Amino acid sequence: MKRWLLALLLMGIAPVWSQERKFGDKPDLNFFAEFVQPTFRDVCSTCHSQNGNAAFGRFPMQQSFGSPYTDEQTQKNFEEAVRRIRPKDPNGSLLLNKPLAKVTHGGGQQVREGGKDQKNFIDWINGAIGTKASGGAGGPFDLAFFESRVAAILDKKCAIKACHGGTTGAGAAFHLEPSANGRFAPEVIKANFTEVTKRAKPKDLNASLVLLKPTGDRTHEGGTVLQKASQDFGILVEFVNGASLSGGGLDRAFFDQFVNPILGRTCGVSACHGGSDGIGARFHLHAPNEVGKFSQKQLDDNFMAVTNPALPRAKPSDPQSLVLLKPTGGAPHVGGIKLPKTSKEYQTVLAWVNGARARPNRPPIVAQGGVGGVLEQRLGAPVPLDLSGSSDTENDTLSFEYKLMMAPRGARAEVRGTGARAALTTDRPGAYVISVTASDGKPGGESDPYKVTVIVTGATTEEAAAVGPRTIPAATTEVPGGRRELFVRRAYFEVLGRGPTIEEFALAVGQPRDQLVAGLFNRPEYYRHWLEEQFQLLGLTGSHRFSADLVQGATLGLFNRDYGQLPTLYTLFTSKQYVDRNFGAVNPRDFFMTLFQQLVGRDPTDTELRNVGPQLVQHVMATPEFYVRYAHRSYRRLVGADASNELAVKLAERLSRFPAAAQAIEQEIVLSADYLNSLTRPKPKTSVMLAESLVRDLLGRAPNESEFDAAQTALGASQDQGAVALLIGRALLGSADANLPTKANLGDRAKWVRDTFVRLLRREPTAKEVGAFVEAMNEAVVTPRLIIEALISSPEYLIY
Amino acid sequence: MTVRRDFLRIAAGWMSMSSGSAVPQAAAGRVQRVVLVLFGGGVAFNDVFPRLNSTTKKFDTTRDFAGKNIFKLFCEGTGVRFDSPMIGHHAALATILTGAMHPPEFRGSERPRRPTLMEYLRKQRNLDAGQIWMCVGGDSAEALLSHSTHAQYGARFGANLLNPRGLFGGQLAQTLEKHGKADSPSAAEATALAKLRAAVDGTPATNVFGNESTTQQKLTKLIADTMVGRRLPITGPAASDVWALRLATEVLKQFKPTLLAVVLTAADVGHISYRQYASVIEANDTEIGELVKVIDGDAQFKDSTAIFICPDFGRESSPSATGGKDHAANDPNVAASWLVARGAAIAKGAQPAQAMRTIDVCPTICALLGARAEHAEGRVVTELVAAG
Repeated sequence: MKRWLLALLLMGIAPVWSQERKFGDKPDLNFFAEFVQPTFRDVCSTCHSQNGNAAFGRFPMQQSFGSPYTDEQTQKNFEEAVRRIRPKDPNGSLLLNKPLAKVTHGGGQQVREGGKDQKNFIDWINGAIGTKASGGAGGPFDLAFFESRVAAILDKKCAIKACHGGTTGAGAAFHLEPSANGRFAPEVIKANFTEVTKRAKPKDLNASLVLLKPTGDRTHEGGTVLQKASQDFGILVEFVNGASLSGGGLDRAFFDQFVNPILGRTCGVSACHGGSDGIGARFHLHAPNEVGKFSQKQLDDNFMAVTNPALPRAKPSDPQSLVLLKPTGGAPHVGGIKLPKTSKEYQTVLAWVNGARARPNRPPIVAQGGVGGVLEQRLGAPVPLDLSGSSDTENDTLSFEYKLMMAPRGARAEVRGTGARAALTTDRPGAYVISVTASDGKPGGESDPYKVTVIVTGATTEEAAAVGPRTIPAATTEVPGGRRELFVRRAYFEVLGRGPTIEEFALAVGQPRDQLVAGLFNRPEYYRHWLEEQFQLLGLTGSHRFSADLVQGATLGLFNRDYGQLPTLYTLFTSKQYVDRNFGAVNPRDFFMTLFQQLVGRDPTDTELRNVGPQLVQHVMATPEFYVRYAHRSYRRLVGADASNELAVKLAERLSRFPAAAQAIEQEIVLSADYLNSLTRPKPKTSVMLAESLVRDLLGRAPNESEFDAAQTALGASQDQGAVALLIGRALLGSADANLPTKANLGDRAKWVRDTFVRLLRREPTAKEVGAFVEAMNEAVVTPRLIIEALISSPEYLIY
Repeated sequence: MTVRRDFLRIAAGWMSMSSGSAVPQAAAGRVQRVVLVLFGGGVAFNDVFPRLNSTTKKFDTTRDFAGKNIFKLFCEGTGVRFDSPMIGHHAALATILTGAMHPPEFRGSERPRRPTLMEYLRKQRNLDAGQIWMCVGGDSAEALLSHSTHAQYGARFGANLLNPRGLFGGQLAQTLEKHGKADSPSAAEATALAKLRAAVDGTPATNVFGNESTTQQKLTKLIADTMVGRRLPITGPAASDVWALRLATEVLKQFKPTLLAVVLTAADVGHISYRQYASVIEANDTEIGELVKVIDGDAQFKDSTAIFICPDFGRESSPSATGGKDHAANDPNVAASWLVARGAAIAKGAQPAQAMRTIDVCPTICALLGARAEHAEGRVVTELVAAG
């Protein structure tokens, strides 16, 4: 993982919008089949089935035994479910209240409050409409195998926007919907499965386009993207040949949790079925690793080996299954008796063959306890890491693994602890990123990595000495009008070039000013924003812009104190981009005039002009004039007014003696009385700030390089930034990342309006505003989308 | 074709009046709008106009020349000697727009300190931003000329700036297409948007620029339609200037502004290549012709609009080492520049008592439109104004 990428990531929780769904008047069968019935299968049918604990008469459910439900089964489950709901009234529906344990339920709470299952149930009860599933299920190709093994390969190789992932161009006729950061929604899996199976003939490798095209055996505009010798191609071949992960009716979850550990440990030794040669190799099983774990692929391989339709070693309810006969001596077995019939292990395997089911083990979810978000602490004390907000659906005991992913160069840092509470210790200020993974000790029980960012503020003794003594005293008064939120907003925009997230805002408002400001200036984002400001000043934008990699490398270098801000300025002024932008090669004299003016605000003398080349820049940047101009510029940028000459000279003297003081000086300015007084004068957001704000506020993430460059160029190209912001916003809100709610599933409209005001304008709305916006929603044309558009193009959004 | 007056000869009979004077009473009210084209980048008289015979003082229009439409305007109106010292493009343009001399070290990273003519008009005539527009062909440097940092004027009175290169260069449209549609709101949506924005009670920021709701609505539609309908299909050295002029023509049609300023810069390619420089002049001249057609073809504009065209300064007469033409400060051809004016209240063939200067443009246009350039250094060139 690139450190510079991690360095630029901050914790922010994107607003939780639901997927855009359409709603009808009554419960929909298709939606039920796609979103509700899977929960029935995974969670409820263990008990609510013929073999289950709940009396079958009470909410009987059809069982699929691992295979997809037939239409008849789905219809029956649907009818039973409908009897237990009140349409449009989730709170009055037993189907929801029982598994939430809001009413007495023998099975207790089985659905998590606020979780995806609950959401799907609610939407279904409210009439959400689904699409009829098409193709594949129950046919010659296995959906489970596709989902587990094939989908990711096609996502990586084929679902690129320029190829089959786009909606225009030659590849669009065979459209594969790309994943969202490696994750596929069920509907995406089904759609892609349908498209792929249209281009595959069962067991016919010579007629399956999905094999012929990517290997170049058939004309393919994309060329050869898969080598026939590759493992990926091998998996595609297995798919076309009918490889299945459906298990022929045997329960996958039970196998993973209980049977596979037995078979893997007992049979998967290298001398027997774990080896690659010998008699046992025909039935290959993976053994667990040294800590008893299997990878997902090993689980898949073992399951497929045992349930392979071509030669199944286990068949539902069949006592003649080889997996029962061979290890018990019931059939000739070179390995002899490995599982006595009286053993618990044999009984487990027998139960599985006879239809035992288990709930799929769900991985835990890691979450911080307390307020969460980016942690900040002054250098000197361990930083507590609190992951007590983590949870596990099965309430299993969790263990935690901490990995330090990023730290400032030269820092001696470590994380101590293996439980939900640990601590980071270090000897250097800066940004740290720790990756946390939780495990419940069962197959499939490892969480996604969760990143915690820690900002350690303060300075080492050497760093403190390198910036020299303080020049501008900190203000001792409070923010005018006591409006701390105004200071927080302004400081974030000035220092980081963006507004605070809701979580950052909540944390920052209560923080002491000096701690807040020190934390902001100690982030890589500060340096990134400082660089962008210099680019704007020097006209290094558009075609004269530096590459994204270079900018991010420079950001990290500045943050890690590999080099300082003034040496960086030197690099910019002597860069090819700067020379080209100012026609330096064509008209050197004019070029040096421009350069001089930007450095010191005057034309060069003839003597100075004679000293042409990079030495000129070096020479000028050592003069008092340069430092005074730099000091003036920093001050004006932050306070919005000129510094007194006296102050500018003092700052210049400090900079010339302590070149590392550039950041410290800006910090002092932001803590000064002049800065506090400037809060009463709203400032227009620069195009840089607006470009960041729009993408972050609407999509919940930082803009990528092309988004940032295009947006900030366009926003700077019109005095009316509101008009351009509206256009950019309308496009961004059309993105799947925007996760817009519809009016129908907004719930409490007033609450949503309040949340939206806080999110976009960083303040609570007045009662009058809430009333006006809620009332406006009575008009058909006023949707949540339009409200967001109104706010981002309002004068208030354009200032800070 | 002959011309009635040779505009290098100083006409007698007109006395210059002191700076800050109003135009003659008879001219008041006749000029409802002004179009000012700053043909920046350094454009020499000889490269725009037909050859002038130094003996007969007549223009030879039998041979091809680049500025046909500009010459036509000159014939219909007037052309005057324009003293424009070579102080750098940004300083020269700032000088024209503010009426105050800017030093050479005023380069492309600052705003003017004295108010621009756009600010004078907006503040003194209480015009909203939808009445004052500036389209620029260059980049961020020219955009800084849309308003000054003067404490009593500034951003809130600034021009409605548009830079087509930043909006229609294709990069924005391509980036946004990856997400959704950057279309303008429908009429019903626009009405609802205006109402919602008005319901936001936040503290109004009186020191920043802002458009009226209907202006913003029309502007959004203009940008969206232009962005979606046409990328930047024009290529070549004049591309950004041509787009600025075309956009200005659209602005004129849709907003009917009191002042429309267009700042062009592409001619500076003359440093590298004369041929490209000439092609820029020709391309811009063609677009100026289209702009004038719109003015002349609309009864609302025809008799009430004055047009001014001038460069920031000229160029040397001899080619440079690269085959282009530079603009050295000490070359007399550079400073001896030209200005053409035509239209409402402009006296045909008028000649000022002394050469018009770059600092005179702002006070003159302000006076024509009923304002006073109180911080300018130049004078109102009343000689240009027709008696009535």
